[in-house]
Parts: sequence; structure tokens; C-alpha cells
Amino acid sequence: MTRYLTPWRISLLCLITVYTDGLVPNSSAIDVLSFLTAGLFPLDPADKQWEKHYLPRITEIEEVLSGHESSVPGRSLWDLFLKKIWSLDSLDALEVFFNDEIPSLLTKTREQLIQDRDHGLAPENEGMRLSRSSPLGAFVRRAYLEYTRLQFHDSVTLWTGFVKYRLPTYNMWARRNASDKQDPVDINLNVHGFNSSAYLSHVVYGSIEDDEEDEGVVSVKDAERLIEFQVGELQRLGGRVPEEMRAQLKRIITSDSNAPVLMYYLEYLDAWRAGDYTSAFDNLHRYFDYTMHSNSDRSAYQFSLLNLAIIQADFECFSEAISAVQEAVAIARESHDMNCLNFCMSWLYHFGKAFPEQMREVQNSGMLGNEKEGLMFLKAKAKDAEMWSLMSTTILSEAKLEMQQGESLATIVESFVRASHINVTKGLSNPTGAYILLQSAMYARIGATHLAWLDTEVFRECYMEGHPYEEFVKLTFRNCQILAQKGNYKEAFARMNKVEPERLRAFKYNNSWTYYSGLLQLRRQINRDDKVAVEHILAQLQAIQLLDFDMRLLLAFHTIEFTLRQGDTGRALRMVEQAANTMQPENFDVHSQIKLLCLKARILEKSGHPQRGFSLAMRAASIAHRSKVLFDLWEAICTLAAVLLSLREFEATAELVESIMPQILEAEDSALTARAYSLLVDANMGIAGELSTSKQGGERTLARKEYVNRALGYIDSAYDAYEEIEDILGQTEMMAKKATVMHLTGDPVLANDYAAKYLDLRKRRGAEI
Amino acid sequence: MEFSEDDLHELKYRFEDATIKCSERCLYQSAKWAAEMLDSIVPIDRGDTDSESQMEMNEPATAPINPYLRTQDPIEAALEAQEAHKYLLAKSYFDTREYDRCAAVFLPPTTPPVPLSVTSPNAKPKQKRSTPLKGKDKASPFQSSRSHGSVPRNPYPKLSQKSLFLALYAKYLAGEKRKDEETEMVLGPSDVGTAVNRELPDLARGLEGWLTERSAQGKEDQGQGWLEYLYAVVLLKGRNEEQAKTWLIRSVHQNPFHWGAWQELNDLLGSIEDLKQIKDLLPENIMTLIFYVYCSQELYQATDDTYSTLNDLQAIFPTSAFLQTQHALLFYHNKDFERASNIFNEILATSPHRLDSLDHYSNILYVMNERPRLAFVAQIATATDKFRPETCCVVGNYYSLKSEHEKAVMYFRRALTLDRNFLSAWTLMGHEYIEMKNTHTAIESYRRAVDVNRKDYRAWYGLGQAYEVLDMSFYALFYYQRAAALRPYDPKMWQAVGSCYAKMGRVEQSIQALKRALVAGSYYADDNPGAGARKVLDPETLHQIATLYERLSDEDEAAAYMELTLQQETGGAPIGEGNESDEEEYSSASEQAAQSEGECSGDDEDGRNTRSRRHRRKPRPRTSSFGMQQDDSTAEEMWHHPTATTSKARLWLAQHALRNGDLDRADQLAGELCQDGMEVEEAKALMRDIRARREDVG
Repeated sequence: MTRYLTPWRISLLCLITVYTDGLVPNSSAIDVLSFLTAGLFPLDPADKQWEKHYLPRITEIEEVLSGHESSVPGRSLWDLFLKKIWSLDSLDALEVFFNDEIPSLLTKTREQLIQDRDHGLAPENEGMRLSRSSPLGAFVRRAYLEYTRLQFHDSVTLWTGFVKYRLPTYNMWARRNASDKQDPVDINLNVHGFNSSAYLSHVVYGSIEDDEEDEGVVSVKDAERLIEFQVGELQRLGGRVPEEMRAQLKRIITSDSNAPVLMYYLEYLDAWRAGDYTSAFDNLHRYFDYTMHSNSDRSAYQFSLLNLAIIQADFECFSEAISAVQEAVAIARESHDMNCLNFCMSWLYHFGKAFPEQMREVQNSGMLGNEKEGLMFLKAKAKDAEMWSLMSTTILSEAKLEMQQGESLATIVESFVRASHINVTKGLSNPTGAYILLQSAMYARIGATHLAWLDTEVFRECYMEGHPYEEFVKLTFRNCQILAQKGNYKEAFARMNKVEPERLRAFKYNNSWTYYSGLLQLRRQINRDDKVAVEHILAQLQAIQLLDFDMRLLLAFHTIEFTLRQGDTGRALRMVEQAANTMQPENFDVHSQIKLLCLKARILEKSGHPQRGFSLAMRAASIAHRSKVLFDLWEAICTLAAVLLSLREFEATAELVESIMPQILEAEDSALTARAYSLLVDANMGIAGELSTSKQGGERTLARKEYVNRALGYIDSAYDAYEEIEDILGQTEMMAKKATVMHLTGDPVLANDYAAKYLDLRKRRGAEI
Repeated sequence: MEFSEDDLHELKYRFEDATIKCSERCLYQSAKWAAEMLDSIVPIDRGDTDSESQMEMNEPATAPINPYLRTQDPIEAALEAQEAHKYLLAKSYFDTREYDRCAAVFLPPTTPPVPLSVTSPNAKPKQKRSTPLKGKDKASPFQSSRSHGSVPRNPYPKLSQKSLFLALYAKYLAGEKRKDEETEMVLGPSDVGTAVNRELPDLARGLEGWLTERSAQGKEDQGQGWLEYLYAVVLLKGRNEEQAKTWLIRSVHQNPFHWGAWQELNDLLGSIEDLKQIKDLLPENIMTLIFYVYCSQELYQATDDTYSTLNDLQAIFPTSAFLQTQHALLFYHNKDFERASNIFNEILATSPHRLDSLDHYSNILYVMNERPRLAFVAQIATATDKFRPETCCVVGNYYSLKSEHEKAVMYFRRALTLDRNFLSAWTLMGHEYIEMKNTHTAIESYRRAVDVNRKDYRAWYGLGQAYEVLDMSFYALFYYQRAAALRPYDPKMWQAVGSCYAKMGRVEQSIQALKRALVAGSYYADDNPGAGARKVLDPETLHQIATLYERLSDEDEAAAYMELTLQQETGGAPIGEGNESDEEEYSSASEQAAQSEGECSGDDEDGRNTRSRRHRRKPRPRTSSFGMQQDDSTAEEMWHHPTATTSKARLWLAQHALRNGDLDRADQLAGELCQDGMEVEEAKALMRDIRARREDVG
């Protein structure tokens, strides 16, 4: 593999000479120049045609050039370009091109000017010359330098490659320039009087006409470009190397020994994403070893340690990860590398959030202070070092912390605005995913489900491309969760399954995706009361062991719900206790706390001691109210209402529930809606019952009838809501209630009907729809 | 020289036999040569009368057994049969380059290869002194062992000659290998040319013992020639040249188809006289003819005799690339670059993988300033093998032509790393170092070239130049004389000698040398058809001679030579043109070398020595290189161009005429000068002077 020069670079140089000869009219200059720069600059992922600009073939150059007229009448730029490349008719011509023609493209240096003056040469100002520091000038200088250091056989290889590269255009060129037709390969062959099939040319050029792409086409520089690009993609998106790219890279790597070292880094990233612990480590260390000579002063040691820490943590070797990152912090401090230090701190903070039990030691050493202090520190440092991305994520972390601790909504929103401001003013696109994710969670908490929905939709529509796959998977899950809440399982599953397998090639994301899909399924099966399916899915989900605490808790909630539905209140209660115990001050979440309190109250209610849940429900409600976790507040109030019902406070219950009904409907959670309606049914029936028992009278009967009718209406609403989320138990309950009410109102036929329907529903329990 | 069919058959058998035997003895180059020659023998037409009837079916192609293949001597045959498997073992070791192991198969180290006599401790210290540089040092160990009077005994066990040769040859190569390893980097600190092959004394003693034993047994004439050859090589390495010569002659008598022996013999011959001396001692067969051609070529004897012999040989070996190369080289020595390069072209076309003597071709192209072609040849060579000394030389020449001297040196060094005895690389590297103004290293590399081959006049000449640059004319003179001795008909050599004398103030000798140059140059010009009628003399030389006479204050002679110079305006114009630009170059080039070079690069010689050409990036007109060979019609038009030299002569003559009072002549000459636009200022001053005098007179 050559270091830098390749046939297509020679043709770019030829194009540059055409350009500097002033043959490119102004109208075409932009196209030509942008083609040149696209070939010279690092690959840009935003460029949709990057494959064309990486190693352009001669046909691609033709595509660009043939449409443009040149300053020479009747000739297109392509013609002139052809003329140029075919003017290099032998190895010697190439040598002359590189040694004489190329340097003359550049403006003269001061020394050269002085020398010229000393030699009495008049300063010439004909023709266009490239500035030495311009992109084209830099390219020309580099090419010249690289050619000078080529050994003879390398330049022969280059020349042979170039001959093969331009061979497809021979007919085109010969048609236009019939007068100076030469041998398609080398003018010397003509001198010798042999055609190109002769023995001699075979010896010199090999089998020139076969199409097989051979070495010399890809230089080390090109391989570097490609790998850099790929590493960038991997780091940006967090995916894995696509199959075609892998084949391409493999070809590059096997073709020669001096493949770029960055390749090992790429392999490391890939192996890491694939969950291949051993090769990831192997490759990372190999990369370190090969780069050692370039940073003998340990300038990158801290970064490599950080890398190590990240990967160790990812493979759950926490203690090693912590020791690595501590070392990284120490080195970064020692070498005053603020960037690395800030990254380390930020990482350590997030790590601590995720695995508090692993962090005890560090906590005790007082490295970070408490969470808030840590965040303040990071924010200040990020601002000092102008690391805006870090600052944005830190502010988001702050918002998250405040949200979890149930602090003022205003501060939380302020944090969001600040983060958004930084994102917009500093042109950051990376933290957008995290930002939207968190914002949607915030909206969901305050019960503005439509806003949460909107956020996820915005992400889906606008930011799907070019964002880390991890966030993409999470946001898709959020999106589907909201759909599932509304009972739109079909759409939810469709969206979940629509995620391209390409994005899930990383082991981790695949895992989370499976987990999320499992959760959605679980929710549905619990509602359907399909015990077999639920147990099956549960077993699978528990085996996955996701590292995300929130998700584990979500699973726990579902499990408790299921156990509760099975009527095993004792076990459910134990599970609640267990879940409560896993909560640590670091991952404390006000939402989970309320949820657990409500669950406990419900369990007590189910177990026949509703009054004992009163204080729990009250506490849940007051916490929710205080921290404005409105969605949970409605749930807590529902729980409270259930307690009140047991206290026969029907009026109060009805009032309570009716007052929050609009908000509940707004929250778009069918389960909660159904529950609220069912509470209203009970309350109304209770009121009706009280009316019937206390006094008699036409007015009363009328009132009673009205309550009963109202109850019937609520039953229908509740039934509809239950039906939406396919909650069989709820449906049967409603049906039973309806049958009872009918029975009470003295309509045995209808009662019978509903009873039959009830039985029908009970039969459907667990069965497939 | 007519060859009958039977002769051809026999010739084929002989070459076949030589190929097999050489490869049996691992003499790879000789085997290759013999095989190539065998392949190029003119195909035998079965029955000259009915050539159409292909009788190949009747002719049992494999039936006639090569009568030479069998080992002739029954004792040897028996021995060979006995050792057959051991021989195979040794040969396989040799082929895998395990030379010591190979030698140990037949010469077990338990039996000391040299009797532990009293002579050996005495011989050892002497051996250290005998460096190859010292030449024919009397203290050669090979003579010392004899002079001490100890009876040389055969130290070797009873072996067939084949096996013994293989074993000893392996020993010799092992020593060579170690020697090369000792010297390390080319021109590095340990590469001082004093490394010796430590196996040589042992081999010399052993072989001497073996051979004397043979002669004692009266089997002197039954030798196969191989061991004799090896002994000669060993002697040669010890600078014992006369003895080596006799042994080589004996070897070629016994085994005439072994080319290696001939080559060694050729290397021994320093001049044409040497060749004439030994000519009668050589056997009379076709190999002697080939040797004669080769030797003449190496000695730059491009005479009719050589050509005719070569033509005869080519009738027998029509496709032999070797003979074609000799032909081309002869043209090259005759400055017929065009034809030489054509021959090389043909060789390249038929066998593009052949790299042998491509370095000569590159020299030719260099002189012709054919850069694209040279690049192409380099490309071909690189395609075949980029690590061959020939390839490296071609590439180095190419870079040299492009004035990239550092790269050129790198490639020459590489060539030398691959083969330290690669002569042309040493010489060419010397040129490059001169170019890079590294005169001391240049001298060292030239010296190495001369040590490898004493017939390389370019190296001698280069040495002279280097010393001239260092202003050490006494040394320079010596080396120029050596060069002139090798190329007596090369005017440039004589010019160099002449200018050296001039610098040393020995004007008479200088004039003599320059006259010799004049004769050589004019002879050369006469030799060419077309220019034959005209006696063409080099105006530059003439002018020099004239100025030298002036220094001797011999005005008449000076005037005569000046007149001659002037006459050349109608004779040697294209040459003069070359001179003119040369001189321009030299005004800025280094002063020391410049003068002599300007003087000597007059006619277009081998460009390797014409340093000036390297400075010149603009393509030189072809005519300057070939002006002499090209037809007169083009030359005729340029005849009357005055040059800087002739103008100078004209000016001098004008002044001379003025001094002698011949005002009309002076006026005429000055007028001519003004017309030509040369030396105008001087001429005008002269004319004013003349006018003033005329007025005085008038």
C-alpha cells in the first residue's frame, strides 16, 4: 500500500493544473472546486455521496466534468482533463510532472523570490498560482513531497496504477485527439514497435486489461480517511461496522502490513459494541501498544484509561472500572488536562448514579462531594473549558436530579431552557436525544401526556438520522409506551418492530430493545390475564438484567401488578417492600416512591384492609402534590378515593374523583381512566344505596335512579376504557357490576344478558384474541 | 569458418555437457551461460538439400547419447558412483547455502585439512598483511609455504574430483560470505577494503598439495580442469596473477567449455599486449574465439578483426543474447550509440526478464540523454527484480540524469550492498560523489572500482578528475596516464593529460600530449564515412596548443595553430558548438575542474565523464552527440558558424597581425569578428587602433 499517492490523486492534480491554467470558466469553478475539496478533505458523514468522493473512479470524474464547458471553445472540461492525463505518456513524463510541473503551481516563497531577484529574474505574474497554505496548495505540496520520497519501484507502481486507472478513457481521448494517437499504455512501447499484447509490456505492466481492482488504488492515507470516518460514525451513533464496510476494511487490512493503527481502535469499538469482551480488550491494548511510540510522554495515557474504565464498566467489571477512572483522574490532574478531567468527572458522576453501591468507596473518599456539588463543579469546569456539550449534559443531569428529588418544577423547566439554549447557540446536536428524552419524561410526569407524545414524535420525525442508536431505541420505547397506555398495542408493536436491525447490531442495544419489547408485551398480557404468557415473558425479562435502574423498577411494578391480579397479596406486599429496599439515596426517585406507596395502599385495599392504606395514600398524594408530579397525584388520589369508599364516604369520593376527572382524561392513560370511572361507579352506587336505605320518597327515588343511571354511564365508560387496553379483569368486573345494577333495577332480562356476557368474558381470560 | 552438421552436433553435446557439469558443481553463472549458448545454437537443418522433409520423427530425438556426459576416467567414475549419495547430500546443502555444512560432508573436520606443520604459524601473520590493496605483495602466503620448502602434501581424503571441487568451492564461498559480512555497510567504518577471505590460505595449501600429488603420480594431464580453475581463483585472490594465469590456461585446456575460467582469464589481462601474449597458449576451439571477442570488447578493441570474428560466431549462435550484447558494447565503445541501443532494444524485446548488462544499456541511454527510454528500461528492470545490482544501476543512472544525486547514490549503494564486486556501480557512485562535491568519497569509490577491475578507464579518469579538483595535479597526471594507456585512441584522455602537464608547467610535454589528442581525434573523425575526405581537427585542442606555444614564446608555431583553428570553422562546426555551451557552463562551475573539463569535453565522448552535461536541463541537440556520424548535408549548413574558440583565435590572429604590421589582415579579421558579433568590444578597439596606425602611416 502506498503512503499517500494514488492514481486518482494524480488525476486530481491534473485537474488542478487544468484549473490553474485558467481553463475553467467562472460558471463551472464552484463545481470543480467542490469536487476537488470533497476528494481532499476528511469524509463528511453529511455528504450523501461520500462513497463517490472516497476513491473517485475516472467515470465519476467524467460525470462531474463532462457537463461543463471550458474556456476553450468547443471543448468541455472533460476533454481538457483527458488531454492532460494522456499527456503523461511515460514514467518519465510522470516524473517530470511531479518534479517540475507540480511545484510551479504554487506561489513562490519569500526565499524563492529573493533568490530570483538575486539572479536577476523579473517577477513573473502570468497565470494563476496556488497559495501555499490554501487547501489545494497544501495538497499540491504534500503530493510533491510524497512523490519525492518515493523509491523508484514505488513510483513505478504508481505509474502502472495510473495507466490502469485511465485506461477506460482511451477511446474517448483517441477519438478527440486522433492526430496524436499513442499507445494506450506507454509511449516507449510504441518506440519499441510492439503492441500492448507483447511479451515486454506484459512483463512491465502485467495483465493490464483485466478489470480486477488491484493494489496501489488505496493508499494508507485513504485507509486512514475511511477508518477515521468509520470511527467517527461509531462514536457518534454507537452502532457497529456495517457488513459491506467490514469487507472493504478487511481488504485494506489484509492487502498490506502497514495498515493504519486506528484500525485497531475501530475493531475495538466494534467488538465492544458486539459485546465481545475479550477481543475488545485485546484490540484496545493493541491500539495502545501501537500508538505508544507517538505519545511517549504519556500525553494520551489519561484518555486511554478513561476508555478502559468505560469499557470495564460496560462489561460490569466495576471495581476495575473505578480504579481505572481514578487513575485517569489522577493523571489528568497531574498533567493539567482539564478536558479529560471533566470527562472523567462527568463519567464518574453518571456511573455513581447508575451503580451507587459500587461507588461507596469513592464517595467516602470525598472525591466528588455530594451530587449537587459534583454537578456544580462540572458545570463550572465545563464553562471554564468551554466544553459546551459537557455543559449541556450536566445541566440535563441537574434537571434529572431535581426531577427525581421532586423539586420545584420551575427550576426544572429553567434547566431545560438553559440546556436547550446552549444546544441551539453552540450548534450542538449530540445532546438533543438526551434532552428530548428527559423532557418527554418530565411532561409525562406532570400529566401532559400529549406533550410527551409530541416530543417523541418530534424526535422520530426530525432527529432519527445521525443520533446515537441508544437514545433512538429509548425514545422509540417511550413513544410506544405512550401508545400502549392508550391501548394502541398494534401500532406500538409495529413501531417497535420497525427499528432497523442495522441499528440493533450492537449487543447492548439489541438487549435493551428486547427488554423494551418484552415490557410492552408483558403489560398487554397482564391486562389480558394470560398467566402462562406472563410468566413466560417475566422469566425472560428477569434474565436480561438490564443495568438501568428505572427499567428494573418498571419491571418490578409490572410484576407486583401481576401478582396482585393473581390475588397473592402477601407476595405482592413482600415484593413492594423489596423494591422499596433497593432504592438508594443516589437513585431515589419521587415517582417511584409515590408509585410504591400507592401500590402498597392498593394491596392493603385488596387484602381487605383499606383503612390501613389511608395514611399511605395520603402521604403519596401529599408528596405528589408537593413535588408537582401530577400524574402520580391523580393516581394517589384515586387510591385515596378507594380508601374513602371503604369508609363509605361516597359523596366525598365522587366529588374528589369528579374534580380530577378532566386531568385524568388529559393524562391519556386508559388504565387510570378506567379505574377512576370504576371508582365513580362505586361512589354513585354508594350514594344511591345510601339514598335507598336512609329515606323513602319520590324525590329520593328519582335521585337514586339518577345516581344509578349515572353509575351505569360510568360503568360503560370504564368498560370502554378497559376494553381499550384489553384489560379482561376490569371488563369482567364492569360487566358483573352492570349485571348487578340491572338486577337491582329490576331488569332481569338485561341482567341475564350481562351475566352471560360476563361469563363469556371470563372464558376469554387468557385466551388468544 | 564453416561448420558442418557434425560439428554442430558435437558443439551441442559439448555445451550440454558443460551445462550439466557446471550445475553439478554449483557454478551457476557458468551453467547459465552455457545453457544460453546451447539454446542459441543455429538449429540443425537435417539434410541441407531437402530441408522440407521434416525428419524429426525418424530422428530419435533422445537417442544419441551425449558422449561427453560420461565420466571419462574409470577411476573417477568408480569414485563418483561410490560417493553418489554423499554428493547429493552435499549438493543439497550447497543449494540451501549452507556452505560449511556442505564442505563438512566430504572434508570431515576431524582430519585436519592442513597438516600441522611449522609453516602455518609463520604464514598466519603474513597472511594478515597481504591485503588485496597491496597488489602483488611478495609476502603472499601461497608462495611463502613453498619458499619454506615444506613438501606440499595432499591433505584431502581420497575423493572424486567432482566431490572435492564441490567441497572446496563451498569452503571458498563460505569464506567470501564471511568476508562480506565483516565489511558491513558500503563505505561504512569497517568497509576499508582490508577484509580477506580467511579460507584462502588453507585452500591454497591444500590445493597445491593435491595438485603436486597428482603431478607426482603422473596424472597431471588427466585433470578435469575444475580444481585447477579453483586453484587459479584462489591464487588470483592472493594477487598471484602470473601463476593464476598458467593454471587458468591449463584449466581451459582441460575443460574449455567452462566460461567461468575464461572470464577469470579475461580479468587477468590488463591490456591488448597481454592478450596477444597468451593467445598462442590457448587451445584452438570455438570457446577461444568467444573469449577473444569478449576480451577485445573488454579491452575496447573495436577493430575490424573483432567484428569479423563476432560475425562468424553469430552465424553459429544467431540468437545468443550474450553475443548480441558484445556486439552492442563494441558499438558503444565506438561511440555508435544509436546502433548499440537498437541492439539492446531487440534483446529487451525478446527477453524482457534478462537483466544482464542492462547497466551498460542504461549508460548508453544516459549518454544519449534519452530520459523517457531510460525510465522505461528502469521500469522493466524493476518489474523483474528490484534487488539486482543491474536494476539498481539503471535506476541510479536515471536519477543521475535527472540530477537527483542523493537518490542516485542511494541506488548505487544498494547495488554494491547486493554485490560488492559490481564494478560499474563503484565507478558511477564515484561520479555522483564528484557531482555532490564530496571528492574524498569519490576517490575512495573510484579506487574500489579500480581494485575490482583494472581495465575501467572511466574510474581511472575519474580519479584523475577528483585529484584535479583537489589541485593535486601530480596524482591526477598519473591517473590520466593510466586512462590514456587503456584508451590510446581517445582524445579526451590525452587532452586531460595535456592540460595536467600544462598546469604543472611542463609545456613541451603538454603540447605533445595535446598533439596526440589531436591525432586521436582526427583519426577518429577520418574513420567515419562521410567525413573521411576532410581532415577534421578539434579547434579547441588546436587553440590550446597555440596558446601553449605562445607561452613558449614560439610565435610562429602559435600563429600556425591559430590559423589551423580558424580553418576548423569550415570543418568541425558542430563540435565547436558543443564546446561553446560547455564553456558557458563552466564559467560558473567549479574553477578547478572546469578548465580541464571544458577542454576535454570537446568532442562528445562517453557522457559519463562529461560532467557538464548533467548541469544542463535543456535537452541537448542530438547533433552534438552524433555530429560526426550524421550525414554531411545537415552539417554543411552549419559549417561556417564561428564559435567562441575560433573567435578567440581570430582575435589573437588579428592582434598578431597588428603586431607584425599586417594591418590589412588585422582589419579584415577584426571586421569579421564584428560581423560575427563575437568579442565585439575587443574587435572595435582593435579597429580603432588599426585606423589610428593607418592615419599615422598615412
